[in-house]
This record gives sequence, C-alpha cells and structure tokens, in this order.
Amino acid sequence: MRCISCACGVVVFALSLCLGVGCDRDRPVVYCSADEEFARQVFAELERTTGVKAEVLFDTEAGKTTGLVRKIEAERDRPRADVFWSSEVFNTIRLAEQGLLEPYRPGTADDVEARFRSPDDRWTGFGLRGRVIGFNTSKLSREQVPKRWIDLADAKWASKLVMANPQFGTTRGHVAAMFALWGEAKAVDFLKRLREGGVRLADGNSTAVRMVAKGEAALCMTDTDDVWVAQKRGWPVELVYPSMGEGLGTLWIPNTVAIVTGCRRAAAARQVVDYLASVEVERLLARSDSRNVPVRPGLLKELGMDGPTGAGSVDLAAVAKVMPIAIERAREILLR
Amino acid sequence: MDGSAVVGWRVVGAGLWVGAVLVPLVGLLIALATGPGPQAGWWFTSRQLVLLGKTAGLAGVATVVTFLVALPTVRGLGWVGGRGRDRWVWLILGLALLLPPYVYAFGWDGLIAPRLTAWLGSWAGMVRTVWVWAGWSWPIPALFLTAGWVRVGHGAYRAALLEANPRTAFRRAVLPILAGHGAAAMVVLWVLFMIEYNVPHACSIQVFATELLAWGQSSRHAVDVVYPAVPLLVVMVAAGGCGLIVWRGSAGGDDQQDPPPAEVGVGRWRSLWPVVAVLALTMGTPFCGLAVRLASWTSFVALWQVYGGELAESIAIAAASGVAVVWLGTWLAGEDRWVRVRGAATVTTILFGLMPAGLVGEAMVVAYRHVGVIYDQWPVMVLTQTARWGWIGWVAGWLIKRSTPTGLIDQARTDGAGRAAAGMMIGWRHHWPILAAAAALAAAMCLAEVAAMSMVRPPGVGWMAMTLMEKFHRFEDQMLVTISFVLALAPVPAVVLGWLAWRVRGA
Repeated sequence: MRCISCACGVVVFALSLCLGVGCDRDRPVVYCSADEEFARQVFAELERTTGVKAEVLFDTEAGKTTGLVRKIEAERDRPRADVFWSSEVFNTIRLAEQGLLEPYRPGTADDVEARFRSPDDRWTGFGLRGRVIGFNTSKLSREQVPKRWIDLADAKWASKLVMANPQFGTTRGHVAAMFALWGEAKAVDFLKRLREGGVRLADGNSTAVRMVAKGEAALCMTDTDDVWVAQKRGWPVELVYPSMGEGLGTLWIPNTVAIVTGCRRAAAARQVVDYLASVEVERLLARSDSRNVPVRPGLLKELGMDGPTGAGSVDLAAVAKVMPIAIERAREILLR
Repeated sequence: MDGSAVVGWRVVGAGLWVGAVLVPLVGLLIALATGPGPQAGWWFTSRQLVLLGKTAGLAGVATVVTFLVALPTVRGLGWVGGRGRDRWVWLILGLALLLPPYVYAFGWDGLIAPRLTAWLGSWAGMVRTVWVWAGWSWPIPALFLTAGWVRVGHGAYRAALLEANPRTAFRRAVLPILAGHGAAAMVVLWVLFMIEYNVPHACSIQVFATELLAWGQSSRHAVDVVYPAVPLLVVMVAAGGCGLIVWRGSAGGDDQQDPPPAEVGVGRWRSLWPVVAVLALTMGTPFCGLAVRLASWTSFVALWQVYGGELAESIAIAAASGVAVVWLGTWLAGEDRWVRVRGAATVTTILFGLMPAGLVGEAMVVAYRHVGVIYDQWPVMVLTQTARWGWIGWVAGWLIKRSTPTGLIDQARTDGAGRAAAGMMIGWRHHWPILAAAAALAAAMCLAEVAAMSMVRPPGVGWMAMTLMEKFHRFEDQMLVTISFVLALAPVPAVVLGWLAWRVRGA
C-alpha cells in the first residue's frame, strides 16, 4: 500500500512539475478561432519579437468561433480570456454590443481603414478572407460554376452542394449577410430551396472542401484559405468569387482582435492586440498558405494581391444585427 | 496497512467520485432546473429524430458487419484459449481494439475513399464509417463469442463432431448455443457505435454524437444540449439494461473447463489462419496504408520539435487520468461501510460511461466554470476523463474482488486487519497488474479522446488528439500520419500490463 501511495504521489508530483501547479498568471490568455496552423506561427513571432508568451485556446473546426464566443459570454462574471482573436467579425460585433469587449485602439493599426475597425475601438480587423465557391475541377469547369450566390438555390446546384453548419464560423456570418443584403424573404426562400434541392451540411468549411476534393460533392460554400490549403496539398479544387448581388461583389470577412472586458492581464493583453493588429502580422498571414488579404491598402498594393471590390457596401454592423434572427431561420430550415 | 491509509484511500476515492461525477451531475440538474426551456421548444425536431434514427440504423448495420468480420475468427480463438504459446494472439487482439479508431479511419481513408466515392457518391462516407467501425471493433464480438464457446460449447461440439466435419459441427452445434453471448456482444457494439464520435467525424458524416458536440458548442444554456440528447440517453440506458439481462442469462451456463475443442482433428495453424487473415485485413491493411503515405521518417523529428511539449502534457494528463480512474474504481468496488452510497456511485459512474462525450463535457463546464483552480487548469481534463472511463476502474476493482480468495482475507482479519484493509492488502498485492492494466487502458482511451476534451481543455494545455484532428482538417497528411503512429503506441503499455495481469491471475 505504501508503494502504491508513493507511486501515486510521484505521478501527481511529476504531473504538477510537467504542467505547472497553477497557470502562469502573467501570461495573457488568448481565445483564438483562427486556424491553429497559421496562428501558431503568429504567436511564435509574438514571443520572438515582444517576449510575450500567450496561453492560447484554439477551437475546433466543427465549432468554429461560436464555441469560443459562447465561452466568453458564459464567463462574463469571471473572464478567463484576456484577448479574443476571432477568424470573423460578426460575432465580435455582437460581443462588443453586449459590452464584453473593452475599448482599446492599438497604436499599430492607424492605417487600417475605418470600415474594418469598430467605431468605438472595441475591435480591430485584419487579414481578410473571401467567401467563395470551391469546386472539384474534375467534375466542373470554372465556366460552369455559378457566379452569384443566389444561383446555388437552383436544384441543379443544390443537390451537388455541401456547406458548413450555418451555426458556426464564417458560414454563420455569410448567411446573416444574405439576410442583411437580400432581405429576410429572399434569404429564407434561398435557404428553403437549398434544403429542398438536397444541400448537405458538413462539420466546418475545410470538411466541405475535403468532401468536394474527394468527389463526394461537386461544389461547396467555403473560405478562400481552405481552398488555397487544399490546392497546396494537391487536391483537385478551384474557386470562384461569387457576387452577393448587383454591385455588391464578394463578401470579405476580416479577422478581428479585441480585449475582453474585465480581463485580468490588461497590460499584456494590450501588447498582444498591438502585435496582432500590426502590419507585420498582416504580412505574415498574407504570405502564409492561408493567403489572407490585407485590410491595409498600402500593403495590398505592396504584395500585389486582389482585394475587396465593392465590399464597402456591406455594412458589417447591419449583418451582425440580423445575425440572431438569420441563424434562427437557418436552423429552422436547414437543421430541422 | 494502517487505518490512516484506508481512510486516505476512501477519502480520495469518494472525492474523485464527487468531483468527477456527483458535482457535474448535480450542476447539470441545477442548470436545467433553474435555466430557461429549450430554445427550439419542448418538441423534438424532425432533424433530431431523423438523426437519431440514422445513427441507430448506421450503428445497427455496423453491428451486423462487425459480427460478420468476427465470426470466422471465433473457432480459431476458441482453440487458442489459454494455451501459453499462442497467447500472442490475445495480445494483438487487445492492441487492435485499443488503437484509436480514427487511426483506422485515416488508414482506410487513402485506400478506399476514392473508389468508394466513385461508386457510391454521397453514401461513401457512411459505408466507410461502417467498415472502419467493423475493422476496429470486431475483437469485441470475437471475445464474447469465444468466451461463450470455450465455456459452454465444447460438449455439444464434440458430440456434433461424431456426425459432421468440424465446420458443419461448429455451425450446427456451437453457434446456437452462443446466442446469448452474441446478443450481449451486439448490444455492447450497438451502444458503442451510438456514442462514438471519432470515426463519423473522420469520415465526414453527421450522426447524433457529432451533432451533440455542435449543440454543446453553440448553445447558451445546458438544456439545449441535454434535452435533445434525452432520446439517445433513454435508448442507451434501455440498451444497457437489455445487455445486462442478456449477459446474466448467458453467463449462467455450464462452467466446464474442457480442453479446447480443436484438439479433435484440427491443426494449430489451420485453426488460427482465419484470425491472422482478419487481423491482416483489418489492422495490417490500414497501417500499411498509413505507412506508405509517410514520405520521410524525419517527420517524427519535426513532431517532437514542434509538438514535444504538447505530447508530454497529453501523456501526463492521460497518466493522471488512468491513476484517478483506478483509484475511483477500487473505491467503488471495495469493501466499505457505505454500501448504498457506493451502489449509487457505481450506477452514476456507469451512467456517465454511457453518456455521449459531448454531454460529459457540458456537465463539466457547467459544474466548474466558476471554479478557477479546476476550470482553468489541467484538473478539469483529468476529472472529465475520470468521469468518462471510471467504469473501467470499477470493472478492475470488481475483478480483483472476485479473484481474491476469501480465506486469505478472513485470515488477515483474524490477524487484526480491518475488512477494507485486508481486501486491499491481499487483492491489490496479488492482482496489481490488473490495476496497472486498467490504469493503462483508461490512459489509452483518454489519450484518444477528442469530443469531451474539445469542450473542457483550458488555454495553454496541449492535447495531441485534437492536434491530430486539426491536421486532418488542414490536409496536413505527413503530420497526420506521424501523429497517428505516435498515438497508436499509446495502448501498448495497457496491452503489456494486461498480459502480465493475465499471467499473474493464471499463476
């Protein structure tokens, strides 16, 4: 018995040594819904250049962003996170409206266009990703693929389409954007026609791209980075940039960074936000496999990348405002 | 052993049950009682019911296919029985079962996914899920049926051999006798497939367990996770009860210890080749499929450089969970005064074992959200895994209790030891490999867990199984294969210790 007690004691002691009895209370905690592969590079650079080592909580592909947003909401009485790096903007706006994000204007983001910043400095945007249609190149040619989102409602396409669960990630904001830009009636009709046409739901955008690459579906609603990464791995996938409607162009969704209200390590949190909103991170993300598009016109020009055209007409706050009702409708239609 | 050690063991054991099972259960019930109603209303949506039906159907088909894969091996395994020189078969069988199921999924993915998709289109994911489940779990029915055959089938088989060849005799005489064991194995398989998350996720299909995790991550209130899961829970508890009844019915047969039947007229390798063939197909093929995708062995170095810390953290947490599971299990099954409390504790621990992982994760989050020392640190992960696999510890404790001669305990008691101290001193000393094997088994299961961990993992704590899933989602094939191989090593200690436990028990 003494031996067993000793063994257990040794295990607990070793575990404590290995993991630390308590977390390092000086390290900022970052909730991050950006893809781990790219975010790890950014956090490594953060540590290298500023000496700040962040404790990061990533989410899963299936529960993208929504899972972390729910955590921040649930932890409002005792916030665990100091910084929220979201891979999209609409949930960030909702959090800001609830007072869960603190006003802070990073000095490194003065050159970011106003439309990609919160009016009251509660969040800052960077590293855009476009909403695109990914398609299997052995099943479809670029010319065949619809050039407007609304055309996907045609039964011919809906039966071949796969999309991520609209409760999560950028798909959530995309559906909300349809409600904001098209009006509820048209958006509901679109979703109903998708459902009747046999659209399939997947656990996340990358899963949707995987299904397309494997030929289980012909095309999918996804983000640019998922297609770029799939192409890099040699999958037969291409993309088109469909228009949200006349004069609206592609829907571009920025990453956002913000400080959580009532956070315990405010000074370190500001350091992290300053870094994430900086031009260095935009450049890093633009040159990564994710190929995020900078929100800084100067950097866009420097890197020679295609940027948002006509995106100025998409009012991000208006999209965020209709999000709850849009997701409720989408849930009723697609998930019932 | 002195009285303080027994008290310490009781306090820690009871504390683990309170922390891993009771507090989360009560927390969940309080949240349900004080929170709002379900967002989607009190009626179950058609999607929830359709998904439940789809999952039940898929699990049913997979159960049948698993049986078909297992059947050819039963005769050979019965022949191996307790023979020393062929116990390696059991070792490999245990290893096959304990390997993380998504490793099989990734292995088969490159081999059959393209062709299946070309033939079956959108059905390919479901067919792949069924096959991966079958290829991973066939040792379960094989073990059940073999246990039944060795126990009750010899006499009938011998009699049938007088009139028919071995194959016909087996089919006519043994299989009908195995109905009870077969039914129990079917229930176990079906229950397992109903709550299994990893394989459907890796095969990109939606089932109840994957959807439950989505509810857990998107809901503001616990009721929106728990309430939709009620039909599944009812089905699971009913199935668990049926399984217990069937097993009790089948376990009461003739306990004869005849020599293995294949001694009559069937050679060693002739009996074993179906086992070897099925193992080669179900275990060898997917691992070869993984190995050929590995472009360079240097990826193991890269894994260590990038994820070395994360790997160490994962192993440490899994090891701590294994110890906690065994501690809890020995308290549940031990000799103690609080019989009713331990009875209730055992039932609730088994109930947590039957719950889908997403629900266990939700219970932990609800219970510990305001307790920073647990919620913000690794203990929440250990408690979650203790809740999930506590039943393994209970089975180990029960096995030790059953195997320990009462005479020795009585003798120790006459020497002045208390009842609990005597049971622990003798049972644990004689059967420590069972405890070690149970701890290693729980650690292996824990290391492969994704769904519950994705809900409770604190910031800054790495978890390799989730990193593996990330690699899958980001199409990083090399690292996916490398991590798969590393995680495939996790069950080896459990298998070796299990082997040792068996030898000690046999001796």
